[in-house]
Amino acid sequence: MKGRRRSRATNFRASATVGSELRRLFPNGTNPDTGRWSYPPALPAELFGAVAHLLEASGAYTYIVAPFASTRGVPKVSYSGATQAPRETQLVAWRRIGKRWASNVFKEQPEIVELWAELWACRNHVLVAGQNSRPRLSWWKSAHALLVIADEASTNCGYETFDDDGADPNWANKLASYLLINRTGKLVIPSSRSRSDDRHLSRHVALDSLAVDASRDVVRVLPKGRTTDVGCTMRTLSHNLTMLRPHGHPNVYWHQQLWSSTSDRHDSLSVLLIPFPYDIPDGCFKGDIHNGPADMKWGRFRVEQKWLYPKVGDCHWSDRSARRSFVDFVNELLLRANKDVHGVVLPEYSLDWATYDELVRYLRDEWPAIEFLIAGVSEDCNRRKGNQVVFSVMHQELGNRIAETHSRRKHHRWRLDDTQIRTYGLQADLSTDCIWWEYLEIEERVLHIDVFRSQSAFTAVICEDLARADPVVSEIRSLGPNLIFALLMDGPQMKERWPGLYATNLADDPGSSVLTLTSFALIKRSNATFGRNKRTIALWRNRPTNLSSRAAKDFVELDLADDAQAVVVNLRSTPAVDVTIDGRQDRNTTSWQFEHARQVGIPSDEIDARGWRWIVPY
Amino acid sequence: MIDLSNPTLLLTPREHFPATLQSSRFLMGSAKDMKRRLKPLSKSNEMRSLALALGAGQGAPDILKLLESDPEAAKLIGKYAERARSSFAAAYPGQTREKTISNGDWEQAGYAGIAGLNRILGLKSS
Repeated sequence: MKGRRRSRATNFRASATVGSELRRLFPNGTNPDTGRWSYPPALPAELFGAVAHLLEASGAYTYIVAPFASTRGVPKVSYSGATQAPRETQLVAWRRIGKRWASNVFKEQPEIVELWAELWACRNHVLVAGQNSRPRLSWWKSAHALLVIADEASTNCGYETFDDDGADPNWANKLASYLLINRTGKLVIPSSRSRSDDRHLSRHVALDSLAVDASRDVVRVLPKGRTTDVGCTMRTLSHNLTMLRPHGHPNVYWHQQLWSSTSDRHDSLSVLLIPFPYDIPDGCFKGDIHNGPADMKWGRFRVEQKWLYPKVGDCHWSDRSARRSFVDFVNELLLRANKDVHGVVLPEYSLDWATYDELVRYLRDEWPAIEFLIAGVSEDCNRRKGNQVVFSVMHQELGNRIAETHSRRKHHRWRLDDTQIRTYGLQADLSTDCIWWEYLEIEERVLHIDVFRSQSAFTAVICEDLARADPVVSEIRSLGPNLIFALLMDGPQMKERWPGLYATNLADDPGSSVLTLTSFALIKRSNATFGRNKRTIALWRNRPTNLSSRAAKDFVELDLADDAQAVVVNLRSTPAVDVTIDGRQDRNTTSWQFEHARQVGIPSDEIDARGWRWIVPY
Repeated sequence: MIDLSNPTLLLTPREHFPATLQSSRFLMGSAKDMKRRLKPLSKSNEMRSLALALGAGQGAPDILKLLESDPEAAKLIGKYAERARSSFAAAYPGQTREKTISNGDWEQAGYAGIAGLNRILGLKSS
């Protein structure tokens, strides 16, 4: 028995050390030519991955605070335990080294070699300090210094373009981005109308980590946008790079355009919001109940897009004439929007793939000012069915206008209960006597981030993705996209309802601006239930500016007028300042702010005359 | 509490799901639906797209000059590019650019700058 006990005891894994974690992170060595770890990783992203992982895995980042020089000496607010601040002069020096490294990230910096040597000298030190004493470990300071240097050396990383005017001090970062991005593939999405149209491309996998030598199975490193100014997390310790969980949790793809265009210089962004479908007829929600014990009543439901088919019947997929009619309708909305529109957004599950494909090709060819289209669809270009969001970003390639498209599935199933069934008047389709789960294969979870206007990044989430903290919201908080579109099939977007709550959370951390959009159809159904006339199709939320003149624009409900079918939202990018927990400021970030909204309406007689009553059935 | 002795709870999702909703219209991600209908980009379009990023195929002249003056950095960058290629291909098999374009093809297509950049980096293709 004694021997057995001893054997069990020896099976416990020794405590992780600084060295064991670095070996796990760089299985081939930090310098793959030598296979050793005693030399620092070659590039800022690799170095950042190494030290950010150590600081987070050990919890050491919680002991970092901003420099503090007391003015009065009372009350006593200086830390005397493990929590310590770097000196102001140290931060300045680390930042200077980072800026110098940025001018050629492939050039060795002696201070980095020295700091890494200090860190590696602690390779046998325990990673996590004991719970009782919590001493300050000697490697924390070197790790923090290296993190600041790597972060500062990565200014503008992920946003670079190659045709900036003049000599670029950041050329090596740009070249590294190019070398990574040109590994990702694109495929041509064939057109059902023209065989020669090879300008709608699918790009589903893009840059997933800036670190090449650091194992994706331990960490990934990507560029970032906003940094929250509240809380104490690893996210609040860097401006330019962020550390993500390993590959697969979920997969995140950073879509960077390496060339700029004239639109990059615009600071205004006009987005056409089309709350289609305007009506969901009875019979679209279909479900079946689990044949199990009476006390376990649940079912699965799916939604048929009968609103895409102009004729009465059971066929719910759009046909060619319906698709053409819908594209003409959107075209008319754009004509009536008067000014340039830069983006078009449709809600969750509004279109099928064929309609989306036809619309994106039309916008690409006929509306050169449009930079992106985002919509909820029931199928993607790979014929994968299910509730998903599709993004297309449009740009010029040597005289050819290209649409580049990617999609992802919703990460959580919609759970419909009796309250929602009654609210939306779905009792004829779904029993109120059980819980209904959306029929959705979740499969690989993905998040796409798209860079646009050189200094901004946006993403889109679908319904439940906005509300559930895991997994995608935590990734969004790390990546800090400047703008988030939330596509919903929901009731009126009033501030006090759930989208307002969760949009506020994201405006707070990471500081993104959030625009939610629902189709009008379920608002109409809930209006019928409650005998009211709410028409709030969208909600805008940005991080509070603390300016009384703007307070009313930080959180805005957007109504659809009785005689309108769409709303144009005008946004403006403004410079913002983000501050890390160690007191470093970044004045190079962008905040999108709400300016105003305009109604877009097609007169009723024209809707009748042009055969669009199947689209706008009221 | 879920009764795990109930055999219906142990079925796979597809077995569990009623046959009436298992028509091809309803199934997601089935082999039939996953049949890829996408086509590879033509070589000329792929070259155009890649070249555009590097100053329309001129290889970003400023960068070329910097690399020529620092062959040590160029060597490091070339090795980094090779590692990026293999690391990405291993993580996403079948979803990356697996075929590369040789320097000769770049030159023949009028993108001498790209071929020049590759050579400085020690790459035979990109």
